[in-house]
Amino acid sequence: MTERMTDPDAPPATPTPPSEPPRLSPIRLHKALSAAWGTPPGLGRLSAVNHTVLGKRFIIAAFVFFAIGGALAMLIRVQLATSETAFVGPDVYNQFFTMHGSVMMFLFAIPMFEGFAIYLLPKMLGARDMAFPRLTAYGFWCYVFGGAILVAALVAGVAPNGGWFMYTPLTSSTYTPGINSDVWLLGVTFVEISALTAAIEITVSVLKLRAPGMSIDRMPIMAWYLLITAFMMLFGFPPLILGSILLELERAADLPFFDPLRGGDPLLWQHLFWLFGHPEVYIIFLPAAGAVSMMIPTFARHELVGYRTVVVAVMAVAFLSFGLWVHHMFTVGIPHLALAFFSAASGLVAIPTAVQIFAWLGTIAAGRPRYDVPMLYLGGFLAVFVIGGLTGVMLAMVPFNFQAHDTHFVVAHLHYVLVGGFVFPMLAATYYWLPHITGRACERRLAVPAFWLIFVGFNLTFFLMHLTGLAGMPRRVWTYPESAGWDGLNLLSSVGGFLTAMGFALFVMDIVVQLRFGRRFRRNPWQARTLEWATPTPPPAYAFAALPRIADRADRLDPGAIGVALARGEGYLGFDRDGRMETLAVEMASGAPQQVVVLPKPTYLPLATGLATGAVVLALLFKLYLVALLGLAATLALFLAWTPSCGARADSGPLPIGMGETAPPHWEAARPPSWWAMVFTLAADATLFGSLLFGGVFLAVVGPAVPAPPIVLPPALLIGAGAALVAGAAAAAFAVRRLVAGRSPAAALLAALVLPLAAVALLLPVIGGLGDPTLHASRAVTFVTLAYLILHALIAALFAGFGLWRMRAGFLSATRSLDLRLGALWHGYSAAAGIAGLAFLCGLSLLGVVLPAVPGVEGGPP
Amino acid sequence: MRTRHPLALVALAAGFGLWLAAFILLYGSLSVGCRLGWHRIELAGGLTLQRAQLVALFAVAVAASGGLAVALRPVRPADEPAEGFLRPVAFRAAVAATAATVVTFAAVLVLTTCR
Amino acid sequence: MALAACGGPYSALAPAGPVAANVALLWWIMAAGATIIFLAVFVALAIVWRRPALLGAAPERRLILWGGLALPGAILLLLLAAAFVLGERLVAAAREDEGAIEVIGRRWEWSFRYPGAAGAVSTGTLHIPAGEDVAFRVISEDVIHAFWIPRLGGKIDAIPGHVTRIRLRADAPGVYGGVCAEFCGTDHAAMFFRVEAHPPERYADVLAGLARETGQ
Repeated sequence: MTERMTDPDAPPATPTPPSEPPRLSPIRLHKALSAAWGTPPGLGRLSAVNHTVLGKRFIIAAFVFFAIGGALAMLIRVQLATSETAFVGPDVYNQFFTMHGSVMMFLFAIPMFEGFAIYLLPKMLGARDMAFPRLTAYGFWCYVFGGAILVAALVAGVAPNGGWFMYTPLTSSTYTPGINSDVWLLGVTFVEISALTAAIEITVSVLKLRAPGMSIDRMPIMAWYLLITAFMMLFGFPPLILGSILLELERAADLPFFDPLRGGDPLLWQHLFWLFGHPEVYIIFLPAAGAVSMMIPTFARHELVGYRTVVVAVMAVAFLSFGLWVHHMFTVGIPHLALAFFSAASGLVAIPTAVQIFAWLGTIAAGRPRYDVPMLYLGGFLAVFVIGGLTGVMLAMVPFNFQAHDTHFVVAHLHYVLVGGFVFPMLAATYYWLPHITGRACERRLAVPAFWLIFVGFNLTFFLMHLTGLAGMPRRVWTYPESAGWDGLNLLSSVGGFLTAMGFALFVMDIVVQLRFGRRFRRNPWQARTLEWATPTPPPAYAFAALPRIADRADRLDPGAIGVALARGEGYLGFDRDGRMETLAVEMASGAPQQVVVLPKPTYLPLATGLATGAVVLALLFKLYLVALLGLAATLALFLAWTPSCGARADSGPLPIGMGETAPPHWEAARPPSWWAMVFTLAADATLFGSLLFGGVFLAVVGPAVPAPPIVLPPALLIGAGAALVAGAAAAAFAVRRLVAGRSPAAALLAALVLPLAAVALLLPVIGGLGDPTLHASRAVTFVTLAYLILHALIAALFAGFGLWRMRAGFLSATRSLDLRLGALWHGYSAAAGIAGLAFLCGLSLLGVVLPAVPGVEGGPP
Repeated sequence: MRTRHPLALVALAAGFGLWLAAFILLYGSLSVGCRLGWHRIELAGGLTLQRAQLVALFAVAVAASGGLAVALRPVRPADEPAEGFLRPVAFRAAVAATAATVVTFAAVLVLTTCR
Repeated sequence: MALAACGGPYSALAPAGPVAANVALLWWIMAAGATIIFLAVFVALAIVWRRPALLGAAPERRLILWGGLALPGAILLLLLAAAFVLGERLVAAAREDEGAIEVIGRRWEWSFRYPGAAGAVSTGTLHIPAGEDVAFRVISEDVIHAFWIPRLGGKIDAIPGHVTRIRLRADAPGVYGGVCAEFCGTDHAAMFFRVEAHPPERYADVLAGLARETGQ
């Protein structure tokens, strides 16, 4: 049953497992688990790592940022209400609309869905927490600190002002000399850390941390949506992070990635941005669609029809969304055939979306639907989102796009998609799951008028905006002349905006009323059939007193009966083992229990690490590079301080997990959650590196053809460095083999430490011999590629050193080899990236010789 | 419940993975071809080198995607419960991806390749 | 109020040239189709909520197959084919042209250089002949702008380091409005320009006059 037995590398299990902890009465079990899982009171709250606590914090923080973004929207509507309004000038207005977009995208939508996922996911899957609670907390702090930097800049009047997609050269140091652009590049990248940590956590939690028996075909549909969304984030965010790094390097160090006079290209930024930016729209929509797919079955009183078809549809949306980014760039002068690829893919994405909508309608048809507040909001979602989808197909058509692009038509479209596809479902979800958070049932009195105010106000604002756009009004204008004839439509849009705001105010009042006066209920007020309603409400920190065995699809359960049994401790882990925080990991496909995952206790380390990371960001912002380096060292040291509480100094062998079964603790298993987290981290890292290589090829092939100065790459040094990286990876893998075979890995680890350092020593003269990297983009790309490889080699050496430290501290044995296997993964990736990167550099310098010889260059300067 | 290799899950994404690979390949070779002026090199009867290479890539993409769908077609009897889910879903995804490949790239047959 | 979008100096729905007219026609067809699809979704919602029996036994498969796949698929293929045909005329027609008017975007004004007439340059006003295709060669001197004459149709970005091209035609002599569509900083909102389409027989005189002004 356990993974160890099927793992050929692992030695035979310890024959005598320790006995199971004693059974407790439900009350004593609750007290014991609460003591083990609780967050300390007072200032101790800052040490929280619990998913219920952090999920709520994410949601509340995201809502605060939504209020800020909404207030900015109102200021925008005041300014545009009439022609030639003298409310604010262009310099302030440009900050308003840039911040409105950035706040709503990065500080509201993504964190709001993360909050919902963190709060709900473990409860839907039948786990006690997410896979990496401290990472959840670190992500939260990165998000809040990054958001605070952006908002502080707005208050100080130096907020980003180049539009939320930050097109360069407008955002370059030439045209935006202040720190406005730096605030965006650094602040948003800081917030993206939390998006990446959430993506890794969600992926691993869905794949590994499920209730036993919940095979992959039995997962609640929301888990599929979140799993696919998290994968999209792993591959969608790195291009943006890379773009931000490159633009910040150009601004701070004059490396000319986007400067057409020195071989760069402003279009590279657009590609990198939209390579992230379009998947982003679906990253926001899909979790909301997942919530819809949970709510509709409850109110239709019928399971979701076409479960498999919906899974295929969601996957199709996820992939297609990576092939339509250029529809934001139809007017940049790309060949019609290339436009056609993106146009067709953009139109195609409507089909899997339609499949989902008709699966929801089919569920209603097959069931006995009943009306309640969440359904009202879902009706609003359907109306608004369908319109947004239809205008999306219109915009996907190249000729129409040529007219509508960059006008208020696009503003209307994107609000229909995002408000329809995210805000309305999230409002429904709030009414649906708020009783779970508070233990108080939903009341209708204010929810209905709030809906109609928001719905009517929204449509008044944005439906008319389609017409304003077709009447020729470009987006992002701070004022317009009366003679343009846009006054009437704009005034009505502004009136609608204020109706919407009133609706949201009523919604907030309603939530306060429900928190205060809602009627208490026992369990499962909506008669839902999924697992999150089997927890007590409001949920205790440990979520489930015992973990259930799932024998059917997870949307056909009876949470009432399951909840009662679990509260009595009937199930897996229905006991308290020395106050440890335990949950189960299962085999990905079959859901067979595999490992006991021991989770970390509350700690201030995530807060401290977040503060240190914030110090790095602030130091970079104010160009204090020495301080930034110190902060980086502090961040690294703090991360290392997370590790002593991981793992164990003695072999424990399989532990009883209840129901007569046993499983080893995760650090004795072959593929524990952290192993998968490393794999997914490296996948995201590889995407970042791939984006860099794409950028290099892009600049060489289609960028402005500016003659490049020669790049000298001594072959002996490159080959030596590549060989050292590969040998280092081999040494790291050999160290694992030695350890598992019961012999000392020390010598191999030492080699794995020294060899990457040797690679660094060989690459440093290459980077030094490059000459001035600010002369030409090809040199800058070479410089950054080499820097990337050096950084990875240094971290590889660090992993080897960490392995030696863990060995000395007694954390390693033949059964406890996890630390070395994580390091071996990193080493392996660094070697692969090294080979790819060095081959790329050779190819790039060849291209630099070949391409200029081709006559009739397209797209070059006159 | 036999423990299977985690890579079995990758089959779910195989169809659309091929679509994405085809996308990158076709978009990339289109750009390279325009840069190198392949659209000015006429092979025969108005067929340019640029269009020829794109159509060839398109054919390979459709064949690969269709071949994958055939390889994943349902077999009876399904040997285990989870298999009874993964394989049909992977098959449907591969069929959808084949259709997407045809629709997305069929334009290589007719539209102007460069500018 | 809907009429407000159809009139006005910058309205894409008051076409004055073939490109804009085709796109406006495409828009009206798509708008009508979208209205029908939207209503159909809500009729379907009403049926599944109130009278699912109308759909026969086990309606969910048919709903997904027809509503989710077949109908949207067919509509999409038709629409894509039409858009490709139109796109060929719009995008692919804009190739290298000796006589192209050079459009220069800079913060925050547009200049136009007329290669036919020795040294003729105008700023803020574009002069074109009516009734014939005019080729434009668009460049930028600083940040990204977008050259757009809504009533003639189509926009094209002005990108530093790149040359972009577009072909437009004004059916009749007259004055048309032009705007900068891509956000370009402080005075982005003020980057309007004026397009004067002259009768073809007078166009040479206009350019000659411009050349004299430029020369002074």
